[in-house]
This record gives sequence, structure tokens and C-alpha cells, in this order.
Amino acid sequence: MSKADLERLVRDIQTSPRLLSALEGKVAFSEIVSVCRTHGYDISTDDLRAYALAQSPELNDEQLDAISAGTTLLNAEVPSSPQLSAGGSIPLFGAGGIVPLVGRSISSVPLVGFSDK
Amino acid sequence: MRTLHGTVPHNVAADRYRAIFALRSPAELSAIAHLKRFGERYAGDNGFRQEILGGGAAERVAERHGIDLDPSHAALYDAYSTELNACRVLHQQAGRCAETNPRFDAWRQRQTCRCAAELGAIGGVITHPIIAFELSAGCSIGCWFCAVSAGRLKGSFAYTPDNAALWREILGVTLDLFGNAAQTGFCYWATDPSDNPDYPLFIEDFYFATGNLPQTTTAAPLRDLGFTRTILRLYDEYRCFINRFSITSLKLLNDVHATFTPEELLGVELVLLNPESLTHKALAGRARDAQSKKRDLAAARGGVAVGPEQTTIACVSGFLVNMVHRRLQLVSPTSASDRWPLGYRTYGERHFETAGDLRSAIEDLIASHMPQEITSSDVMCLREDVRNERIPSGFELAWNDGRLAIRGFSGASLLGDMLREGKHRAGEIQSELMRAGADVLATACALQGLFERGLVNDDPEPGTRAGD
Repeated sequence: MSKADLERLVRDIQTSPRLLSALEGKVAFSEIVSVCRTHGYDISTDDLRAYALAQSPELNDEQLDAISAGTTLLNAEVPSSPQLSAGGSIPLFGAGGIVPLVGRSISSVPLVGFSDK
Repeated sequence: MRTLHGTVPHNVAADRYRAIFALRSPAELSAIAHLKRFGERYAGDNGFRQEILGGGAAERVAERHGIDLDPSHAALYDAYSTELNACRVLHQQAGRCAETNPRFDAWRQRQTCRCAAELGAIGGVITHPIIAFELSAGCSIGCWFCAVSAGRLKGSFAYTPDNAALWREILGVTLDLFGNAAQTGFCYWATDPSDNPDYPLFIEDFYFATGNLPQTTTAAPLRDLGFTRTILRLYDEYRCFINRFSITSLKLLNDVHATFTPEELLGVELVLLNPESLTHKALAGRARDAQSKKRDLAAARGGVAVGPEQTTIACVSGFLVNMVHRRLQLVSPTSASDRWPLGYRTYGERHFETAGDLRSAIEDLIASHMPQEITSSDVMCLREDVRNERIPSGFELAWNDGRLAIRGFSGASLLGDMLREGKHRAGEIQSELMRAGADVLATACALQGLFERGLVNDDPEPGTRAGD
């Protein structure tokens, strides 16, 4: 890949009607890469993903507000903590969830599989 | 040591679990076991609970039940619980297979995001194992509240030479396709392990193939003590993760406590489903049916009591394999509804005869239901639980306990409007936004970002559930 090509693409998209016309309606990164390559830009889907991380409206702090718990989704990773008390369930002995004192039980939530029988 | 495919794979989560025990003295483990039993008694036995709440000295009440309660050990239990939960997180992470199977891994990540948002607190603790094997057809227990509405027991998959060979080949296929993420698998679903007398042989094979002895959950721990003690012996030998007994009556709780010492059950979580317990049953399957009838009755009388609800017990985001029917399904948890009464979606279904068939069927389901990206022809419809509202210069998405504002770029408001209508193809949205002066790459990135974070509705169309 060429960083210069990606920068050139981003610049040309603003000014080239021919390029814009070729990209009209394209949303899949694979489609966009294919079109761009035929127009002489040596870029890959990974380049576009990197560009998305840097520029996409969801991930740009200046353009996006993650107002509350939506941060889990913004991280693009699975939650790293089980957040056992998130639903208002307070286990008697620590986070193990044997005796919920408040709210619904989480002790019947499967650790791996099914239990409710 | 018996091995199926060379050396037993390394199991990070099991290492952490074993360390919990290796780092504690027998006396400390015994103290934890007695505190655990006290908690089970308190949560599961209303009479015991009333004695404590009525002012009875906890130590004396506990002693009458053979529990050596020492409140000074509570911190010990807290630390133990915290470490157990760290293992849970490792189990969830063990399901990642971005290198071995990136397409499936990305799909599972989207389901994980969806569940975390859609299911609230429960969604955050689901570990999303990638595969579950049913070694029977149906279940002999017949609980009225069964959240997966298990049918009557119709037969089991015996450990005959032919079946054992097939089983080992299938485990090999699972490892091939998903690598060590196969360690998250387990061997029951709408079945009870005790219905298959050969179950211990299957899970021991599973251990040698994957490096993980799968968790066992049974609602009949006293039906065949020899069977149960075999499960506990395997646990002692390989010690990968906690097992579970489902307690469906106070008598069963009493009998289990009378049969096994607190120390013997330290590695067994008692899931208290008896009427006297403090826990609520998940409103899915037969419990949901029963609740609906009760609500209809209450509504007719002029009132409906609705409490906080857990609406699924499903945990697999991946494959459900029934070895008796040779049936493969692609499933993921969801809130039980009229559409998905059992608390999980079924994206597709296939049948197989051989391990090779199963591999092809899994690959076919991945190809059919796990797109790698949004394409121009995809209709951009957000999940049903996601609200989409206008805000200055853009739009805000909101769900159960989260919100996300997208704004500040050319075309953001129009994008929000078109997504709200839920009927436009992605290519159409891109064209409209281009005409409005939006940056083509920014729009593509926004659409792909919504997709990758599980915000786009991928609930399969009605009528595509089986054999699609």
C-alpha cells in the first residue's frame, strides 16, 4: 500500500468528478478498493479500515459523543469485565453472585452453558 | 496420557482456574466451601433465611445444618469470587478466533455487542461459547419452567465405536475451523447430561481434543450417584471450570447437601430454581408461556405485576449440534419474544452425516449468514431496540443503557433520516449523501462502523430459519 496514494485519493475525491462518478453507490470497502485500483490508487481494505478508525464519524472524538454506557460498543472489543452488578444485583459474598440481596439474580446466568431446568 | 490429536492444547482460562486452588491451603478452601454452602442455604431455603432474618445467630443456625460458619472468612470468599469471575472473562475471550476464522470471529463480536446492548446486565455476563453439542434428543427432566422448552427424551448418542470415531472427527473439525476457541464448547443444551450414560466418555474426549473439560450442568445430580461422582472425579482430575447442579426443589437442595460435603461441592455452583429461592426464573420458553397465562389472568383482574426480568438463558453465539438428529443450527441469544420464544435466534439450519458434512455445513452457514461488510444492496435497518433521533447537525442512537451521537460531518443529518426510515439500500444512501456533498469515504466508514458494532439489524427474515 502507499500512504501517498491514500492521501492522494482523499484529496482527489473532493475534486475529481470522474472518480466520484465511479464510486457512486459504493459502500463496501472491497468495492471501493477495486474501483480505486482501476483509477490508479494502490490502496487496500486495510488502508480504508485504518482511515475509518482515524476519520469515521463514530470514532472521531471531535465528531462523536459517547454519552453513556455506549462506550462498550465504541471500543469494538468485547467487554473486558463481566460487570456483575450492572443490573443492580449485589451478591452477599463479593462478585460471585451466590446470594443476590437486591434486584434480580445473576446467579442463574450461565457461566458457560444452560442451567435453567 | 490419552490424546486425540497430539498434545493437549494449552488452556489459559483453565490455568487461571487451577491457580485459584493451588494458591490456597486446604483449610482456606474448606472455609470458602462452608461460606458457599451458607450462601446456598440462605438463598435457597426460606426457613433458614427466616431464622437468620428473625434474629437467630447465623453461626448457630448454620451449625444446625452442618455448616461451620466463620464470618471472619468473608474476605477469603470475596477474593475467591473475584478470581472466579476473572476466569469467566477469560472464557469469554477464549472464544476469539480472529486469526483462525476471522469471518466467524467478527460475527460473534457483533452478536456480543448486540447482546450487551439488548439484554442489559445479563448481556454483559454472557460468555458466548462458540459451540454446544447435544448428546441426547430431548430431556427427561421436564421442568415446567424450562427456558428452552426441551422436548421429551427420545434417545441418546451412545459411545459406540462408530459414534466415538465420529465424535473425535467432529472435535477435530471444530479445532480446525476455530482453533482454541473450541475450548468454549460444552455438551448440553435442551438436554440433561445425566440422560446419556456415556456422557463422561464424550467430555473426556473433549478434554483431550481441546484442552478443556466442558462444564457440566445437570438437574438430576442424585439420579445416578455413580454418574455424578464420575463427573466430579473428571473435574478433580482436569479442573478446568466450575460445574453446576440445577436445584429444582427444596428437597433436592436438602438431599444434595446431605449427600455431598461442602468441600466436595466447592467446584459445583448450585443454581437455585426451587420456589423457595431468592432467584427469578428466566422468562423464556415454558416459563414465558406460564407467565403469559398468569399475566392474562392478572390483566383480567385489573392489574399486572411486572418485575425485572431475565429473558434468556441462551449463551452460545455460534453452533448448536445435535448428535442424535445430526442437526446443525447457527444461534445467538436474544430476548425471548413471540418470534424467538426460546430466547435465542436461529439463523440457519443444516443436517450432516459425517464430520466432513459438518465442516461443509458450518462453512456454508458462515458464508450465508456472516457477511464481512455492508454491500451496496444491503438494506440499512438498525436493530429494533435502537432508537434514532435527530439532534443538531446529526443524529443520536440510543438503546437499553447506551447512547451514541453521530454528527458534525456533511450529510450526517440526512444519513440519520435515511437510517430512520429503515428501507434504503446502502448504495442508495451513499448516492444520496454524495449528491448532498458528503465525503464518499466518510459515509462508507460510517455505514461499515454501524455494521461492525452490531447496530445493523441482522435478525433473519421470518421463514428463513430452517434449511435456508
